[in-house]
Amino acid sequence: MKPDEQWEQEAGRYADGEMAVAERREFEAQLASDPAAQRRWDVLRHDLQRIERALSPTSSPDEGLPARILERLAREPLPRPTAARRWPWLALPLAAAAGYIVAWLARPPAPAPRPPEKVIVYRDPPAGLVPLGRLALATGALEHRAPDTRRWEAAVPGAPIFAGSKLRTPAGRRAEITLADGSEIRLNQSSTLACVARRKLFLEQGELWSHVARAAGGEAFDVGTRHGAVRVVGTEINLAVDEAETRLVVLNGKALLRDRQGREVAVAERQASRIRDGRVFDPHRVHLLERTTNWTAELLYIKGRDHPELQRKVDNLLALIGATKMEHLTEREIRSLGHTCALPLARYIDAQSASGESVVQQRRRTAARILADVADAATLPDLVELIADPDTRVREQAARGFCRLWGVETQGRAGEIALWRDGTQAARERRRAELRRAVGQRSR
Amino acid sequence: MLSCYNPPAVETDDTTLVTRLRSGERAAFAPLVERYAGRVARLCQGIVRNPAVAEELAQDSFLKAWRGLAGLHDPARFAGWLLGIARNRCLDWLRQQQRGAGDVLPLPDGAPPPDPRRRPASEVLRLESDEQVRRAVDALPAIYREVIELRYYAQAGYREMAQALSLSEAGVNQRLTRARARLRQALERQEAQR
Repeated sequence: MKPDEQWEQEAGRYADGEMAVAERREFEAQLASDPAAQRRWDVLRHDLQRIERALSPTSSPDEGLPARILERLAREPLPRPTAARRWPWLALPLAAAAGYIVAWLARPPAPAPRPPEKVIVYRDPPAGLVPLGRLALATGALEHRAPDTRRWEAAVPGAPIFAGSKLRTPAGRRAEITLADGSEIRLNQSSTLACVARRKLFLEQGELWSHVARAAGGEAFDVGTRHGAVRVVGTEINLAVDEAETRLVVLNGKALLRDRQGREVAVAERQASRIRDGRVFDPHRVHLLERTTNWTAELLYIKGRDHPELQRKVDNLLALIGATKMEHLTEREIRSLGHTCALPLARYIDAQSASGESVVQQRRRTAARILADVADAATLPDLVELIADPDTRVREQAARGFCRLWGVETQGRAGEIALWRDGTQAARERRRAELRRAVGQRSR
Repeated sequence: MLSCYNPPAVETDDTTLVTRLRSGERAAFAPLVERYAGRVARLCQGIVRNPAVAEELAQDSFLKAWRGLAGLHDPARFAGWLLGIARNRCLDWLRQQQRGAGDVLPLPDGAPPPDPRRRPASEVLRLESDEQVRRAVDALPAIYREVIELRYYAQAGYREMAQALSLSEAGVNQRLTRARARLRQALERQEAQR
């Protein structure tokens, strides 16, 4: 190695802060005692400073970057553990053993019990029976037990519900029942509901949401459970029952919750109460009310991806951003709606002014970030329109969502996002026209 | 008398966090992301010179690190390993750009646009000088360019650079010295030509 290079290596380590204290002192003493070395160091330091300044980043990375990375990783399975290689000779016998195990596990399974196939649709109701309502909507086949029978059979939307009928939703299936008086009942998965009589229900297990229509004669609307009963005075409740307790949330109006000893509490709007260990508890305020009924989103989506109730739900959740310290929970709530909230999010972004107050801007950006992750293919045209949004952050997120749905490879994705975010208005308009055509052709 | 409870010190060095992550504690990755996201993004931005692309590549780098964690044999080398992933990711992107590997829809010409804002003369001169340095870096052979990028864009220390480039620290020092010498010679030549 040349002596010059050796000196420059030392000087470089000094400049880079890679020397130990003693070594630094030695180098500084050398500079102090050797004017030629000091001059040489001054020139080198000047050049290194110029390089450093030129290569320093002109802008800091976005503060939200770690959060976005973690969001992306949240969908990833955990990394595989490092494979141990201490006994490589074990690999062959282990592989053989694994083969036997796989073969054993892959043997043909025992035949599963067949699901009920008969569909209950009483086109001509049995004499004397007047339907209390009908099954209006379902996310899949449900089970119905007709009055005075012990057999569960499949039911599809349109099936009438009689006094004495029971409806059961398997895991992953939800349903909506419309009663003759105009009341609506939504039934969550793994629930069993008995229709006892007009405006009298019994929730054996699971969860229901109910919007109760007012009866002309002031007739009460009651739902019984194994722990007590609820009388709906107002219009909208959510009720959940499991072995341990009954939980009531009043979303609108008022309800009375009564335990089996006859103790009763009045539960007002935005309040919750429960019956546990045989007694009813005092009501308390519910902060994230929308969370209570997130499970109904799938049903609303079936009614229409632009269903106003779905829009209202998303709008209400977004309104909490900037108004609560638990914004991450709010965002999580919106995300839990999955693709069903995509169109409401796109509409929210469109409806709110980008030049409005900062909290609105924050909400729009949050909406765009969620939209980028949850949007489904049906939202592609809405995403394309966001290329014209005045807010660069919103455009960037919309581009991310578009690329994900369009299947753009990573390399193309970066360019596409750059155009949406930094492109001139004219360039973005041209791109919008292209993408509108492309999305239209694909959907055909 | 109230008894004092001193919680045990939380181990947050890279080795501990990687070990916890490998044992199934997903949350252990968050401090690593917080710690290195800025440096990874700056490295990407320095190499690809486009903030949006850089962010996307930085995200990809963490994703790749997450998926490939089993391949990291020494958790203490996490930082260098991650920076190496990020740099390779950027180089892949640049290569694909050069090959013109197309998107489903090709991008229109002229995007993104240059910054149209006017600047004072002194700043223009400084920017020109900075641009000269960046051009000189671009013209360096790859083995010298990579140490410059890791040192200045990612603010990597010799140890991290050694991990990222599979070199000894002495090797890093030597290569960085030579890279700087070439850079200074190139800048002198540029000055002489003006």
